[in-house]
Amino acid sequence: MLTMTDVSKTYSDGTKALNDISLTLPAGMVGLLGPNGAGKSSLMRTLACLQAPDTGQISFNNTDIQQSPQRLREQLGYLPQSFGVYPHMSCVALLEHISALKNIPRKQAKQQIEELLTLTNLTAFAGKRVSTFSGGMRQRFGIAQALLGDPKLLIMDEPTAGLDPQERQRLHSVLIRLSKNKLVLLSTHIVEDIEHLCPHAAFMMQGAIVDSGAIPALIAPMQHNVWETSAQPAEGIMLGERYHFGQPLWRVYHHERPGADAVACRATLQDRYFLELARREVN
Amino acid sequence: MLVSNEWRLYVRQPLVWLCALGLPGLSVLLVQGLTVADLQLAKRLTMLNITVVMLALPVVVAALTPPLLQRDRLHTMQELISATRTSQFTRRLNRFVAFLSLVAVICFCGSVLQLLMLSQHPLFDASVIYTALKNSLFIVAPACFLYCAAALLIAQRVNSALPVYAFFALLWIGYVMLASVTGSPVLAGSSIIHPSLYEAMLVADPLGFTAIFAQFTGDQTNWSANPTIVLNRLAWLTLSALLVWLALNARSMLNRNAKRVLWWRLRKTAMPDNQMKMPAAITHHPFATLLVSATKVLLLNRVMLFVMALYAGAIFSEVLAAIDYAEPHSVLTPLSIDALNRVVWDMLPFAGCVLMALWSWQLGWQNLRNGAAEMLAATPVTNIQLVMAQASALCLACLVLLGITAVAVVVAQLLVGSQIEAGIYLRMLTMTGLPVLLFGWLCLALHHVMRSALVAGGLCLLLLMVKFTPLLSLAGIAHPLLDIAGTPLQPADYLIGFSRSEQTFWPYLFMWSIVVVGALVLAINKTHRGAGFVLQSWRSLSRSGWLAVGVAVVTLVGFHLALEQERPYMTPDARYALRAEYEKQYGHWESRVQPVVTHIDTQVDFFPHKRLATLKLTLHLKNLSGESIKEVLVGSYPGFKPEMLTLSAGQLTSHNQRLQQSVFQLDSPLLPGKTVTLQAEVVVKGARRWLPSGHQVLLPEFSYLRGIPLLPNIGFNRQYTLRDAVRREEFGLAALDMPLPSSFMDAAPVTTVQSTPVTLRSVVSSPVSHTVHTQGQIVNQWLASNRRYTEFATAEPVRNIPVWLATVQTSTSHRVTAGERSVDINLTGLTRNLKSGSQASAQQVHLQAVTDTLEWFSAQLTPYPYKQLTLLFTPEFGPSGYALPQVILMSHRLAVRARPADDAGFDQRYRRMAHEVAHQWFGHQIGYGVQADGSFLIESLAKYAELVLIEQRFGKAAMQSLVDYERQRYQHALRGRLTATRAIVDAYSSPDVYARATLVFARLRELLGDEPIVSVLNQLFEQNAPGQKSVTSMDFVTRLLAIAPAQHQEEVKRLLLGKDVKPLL
Repeated sequence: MLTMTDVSKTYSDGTKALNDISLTLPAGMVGLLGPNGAGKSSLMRTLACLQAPDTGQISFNNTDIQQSPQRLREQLGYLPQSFGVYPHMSCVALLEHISALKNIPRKQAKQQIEELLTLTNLTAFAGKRVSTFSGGMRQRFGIAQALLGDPKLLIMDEPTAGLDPQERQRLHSVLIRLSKNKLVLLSTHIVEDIEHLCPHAAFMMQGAIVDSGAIPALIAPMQHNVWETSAQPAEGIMLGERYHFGQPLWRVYHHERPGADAVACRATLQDRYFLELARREVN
Repeated sequence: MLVSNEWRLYVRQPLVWLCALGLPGLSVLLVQGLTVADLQLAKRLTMLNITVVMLALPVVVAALTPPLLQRDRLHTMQELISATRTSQFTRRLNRFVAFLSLVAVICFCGSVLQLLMLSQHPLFDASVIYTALKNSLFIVAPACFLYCAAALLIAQRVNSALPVYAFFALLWIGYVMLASVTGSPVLAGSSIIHPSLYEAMLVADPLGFTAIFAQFTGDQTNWSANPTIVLNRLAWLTLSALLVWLALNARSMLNRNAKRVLWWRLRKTAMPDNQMKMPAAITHHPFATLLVSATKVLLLNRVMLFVMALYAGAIFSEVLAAIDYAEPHSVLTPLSIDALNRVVWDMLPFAGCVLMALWSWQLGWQNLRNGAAEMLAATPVTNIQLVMAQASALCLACLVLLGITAVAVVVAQLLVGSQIEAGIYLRMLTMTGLPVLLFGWLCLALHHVMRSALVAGGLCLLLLMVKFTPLLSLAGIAHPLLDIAGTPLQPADYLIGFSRSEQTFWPYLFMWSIVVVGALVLAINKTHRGAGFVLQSWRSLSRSGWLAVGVAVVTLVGFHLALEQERPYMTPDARYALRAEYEKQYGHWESRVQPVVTHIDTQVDFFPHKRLATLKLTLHLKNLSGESIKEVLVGSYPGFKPEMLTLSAGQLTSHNQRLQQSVFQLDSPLLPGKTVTLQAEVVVKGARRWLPSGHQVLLPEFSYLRGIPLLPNIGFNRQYTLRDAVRREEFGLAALDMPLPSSFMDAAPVTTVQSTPVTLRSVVSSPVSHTVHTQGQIVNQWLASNRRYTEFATAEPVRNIPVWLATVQTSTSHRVTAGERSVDINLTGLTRNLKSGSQASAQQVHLQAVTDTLEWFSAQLTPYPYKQLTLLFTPEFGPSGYALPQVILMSHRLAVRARPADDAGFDQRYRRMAHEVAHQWFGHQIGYGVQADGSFLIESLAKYAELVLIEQRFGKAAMQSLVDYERQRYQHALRGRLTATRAIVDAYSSPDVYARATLVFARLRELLGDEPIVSVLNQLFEQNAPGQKSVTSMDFVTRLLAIAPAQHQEEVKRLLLGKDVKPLL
């Protein structure tokens, strides 16, 4: 559905934000995981035709989006990592404004806005100015505007940031429902979100895609090699440290049991992600 | 500690560096541009310091305020910073101190650089350094403090950068306007228009410049800190400190917002949600939505509404205050054209372009400012919709601006009962509004192409500065295309409307339209869609983008070349170089005997609708010397190259194309008393890209060709030499032998033989709809090929300044008898003043003035030597009155439409006509044979004639009123004068030769009466022999001193040769 070939982008200060990225994403939900500064937002902006790559090609449904950015914009829903809103405009007025920009017929727009307000739990606040919204409410507004026009490609940068657990849950349901026949590209730090929602994921580090594929396939090589231990292990690759009733627990990747009290665990996407991070640190 | 912390932040800000380099750079440019030979260095330094503070300091403070004083809010760091341990007061105080120190350092760098550059001058001494210190203390430092205090206060009061820019733009414009109406010498063309405002500014000028300039009288080498200046500075420093105190203690914006939210919540609890006003429904077409949204952004914001209201008030008051103003003591019956002319040439274009720059900035970056840029840029709105919606919004805003202008002017007109002409409104506002809109679109294109708001805004500011400030011309750079998106359209004239400049207006408008459309096409191709990211690199720019760039560049370059082709554009330096080259190559011809023009036969054919005239000239050159002549040098002025040039009995031996000089070798030497003829053909075309120059006007309704510079010049032309001593030295020329007229007491000057009067015969043809005029009597008239041919011939020799005119205005002839002679007075152009109802009165006044003048000269001096005098009332093309031999041109506006104000002490129409008629003697009979002399004998004596004739016709009170008026004019002129005052006979500046001369002659008349003066004038006329022995100013002085009573000798001498003008004031 979305194909990137040798996409690179270097900013004027010399920062290499995208480094020769080649990636093919199928329909459905795709998670993009990476640490801060990995280039996720640059990639999102490039895919949203907000900035042009220096080199490489991007096509969506066999349309070269550099040649025809307008074709992509007509099918795009975009939620940036952070965004502001016009002052003195109510939620519904701003959604109407954006729906007009998305060229949605008035009647259809009205219906969609109503549905989206319900979906994002904003109906009660439809007449309030968005500039007075709390962080979570504003994020829900952002999601609503992205969903306007039934986009074929939905790019969401940190969509669950600032949402309370209940709203997060609600958004998950919405996204699952929406992603049936479209591509939803989700960028987040919360690995759990991707694990819950996405059949596919890509790891991005230092501007490059280090691995991508179906999540089970990404996790599979780690199965039977992930351990949890209460004593700091001397061997293996440390995947994380957490506390249980105040006692530390370490999670380790090793092909053998790293200690006597180590217990074998089921590998998760987070383990895979942390493994990549750890490998990068070593390198 | 905190101040140094601020400075660490400053050094990382690119804008700080830009200002730190920009202002000193500008200071250096100004020093290079402002070179006046006899300007005193200390005064010049003060001028330079003041120029920088007046024109550049507000821009620097405005540019630095948002990134340095508003940074917390603009970058949403307010909460983070407010949560630190430093108290709000301490934080603000330290920021203010650091900001003030930064601005002061930048300004002082500029001042130091100016001082260093002036130190290269040979006249540089310690007094200039002392002046620099004094200027720093009294001019630069208080101005920095005041502007920084204002910046701190405004930064605390508003949430965004726009109000800051609007505030400083208003401050900047406001002060420049105040300075221009109170006679600031920094601004070219500025004069004291409102004396009461000037008096107020003397004590209350926020920057203290008025009181400093008031001390710039001719002889004073420097200004001193008198009590007025010290008190003014202390008062404004105190006020600035108060502003700082208020700003330091102002409530935090966070608290203020919290209070507003609380108030809003309280209001909401009283108002159910379903009663809340929802925003109006918006249209659902993307273009229309963008247009509506952009228009709302521009027009429905509180700051802009306030600015618009302020603008409307300013327009209204400007029109109302002087709608009927013609000149001092004189008013018009105002029409729409007069009302609009007061505002559409300065206030509308300036305010319009500033607003356009601000609006385009708002449109270009509103989404980014609101943080919604990425979200909206990702919508499927096309680039063309985005850019064109914003361009259309600018167009609507421009229409609103023009509408406000129209309403304000109409209301003012209604209040004074002036006749309103809708057609004039439509035409004038359209023609003046279009360039404003083009400027706005150009700025909009910049904001779409540039990825940084700072860079785009900076470029727009640069465009504004290039277009409206004298900075580049002060730096010696001038070009018509530097009026960005502007046209040379001139104020509409009652007689001919826009005819004078309309032909020039359309090519400029067309050219700028192509450039601006090109810029918009580029913007559509390369827009960042408001997000500031590179969407389209230059490398991958589409063909239409490159085509747009190419077309715009080719259009600009092509227009420049067309300008060059029509009239080669020369920088002042190139002109000086050409003159120097001329003198070097042909200077030796000055000592060679050359024949003199004694008669000119001319065939002039006017084609007014083609803006064309052809001249076939036959000049009779006579050898008036005692030697035979073998070679003749014939030259022409730059831009007036003859199509054909032949000398009878002579061959062209050399021709300098660049200097347009031809040397002819005579077949046989021209013996004394013998004549040869020079034939020349000149084609004069009305330029399409240049405005008609002062004395070469070719318009469908009015054509005027003065013989100088059309006629070929014989021999070395001393008028075309470099006069400025410094430049002569630069070009390696010897010092010019130009003695002051007062030195003629010791050594009589040589009369130039070229000043020999000539006889003229002209055959002038024009379409039958036109009447033609020139010197001489009509000797024949006939029609041929649907053209009217008129032959004129002078009976007696006249000063060699032929003139030919063709006009659609009708003429009436009146015979006036003066003494024993009768003179036919031909009045042309009086018939178009039916609306004001004062035509009859104007005719009566002018005929009276002519008759009185002819009679007085006839009775007291010598009669008018010719049989006819043509008075032509012309459209506005420069002079208010201009006298040529036998022909007088008068401004129709001032001479026909205007009438004396109710409280006028004298009639300006009568005064001006008497003055111009007097030039038939003072100027065209005496005063033109010695190059270094003339102003006194021409202009100052004409002022004497005014006094005598006004007193004779209207009585002593009217004459005294004229003296009082001229005294006031002279007092105003002395304020801000940068050069030393000269003796009246040596003076050449207008205030001296007109206003001061009136005061001098008024005093002389008091002391001596008219009899001795008239007696001396009679002697001058008797002794004057044009072309052979011209009398000089000193002849007048010495003869008057010779007959003045002993007790008045000293005062007469002081009045005519002294430099102290205080007793006259």
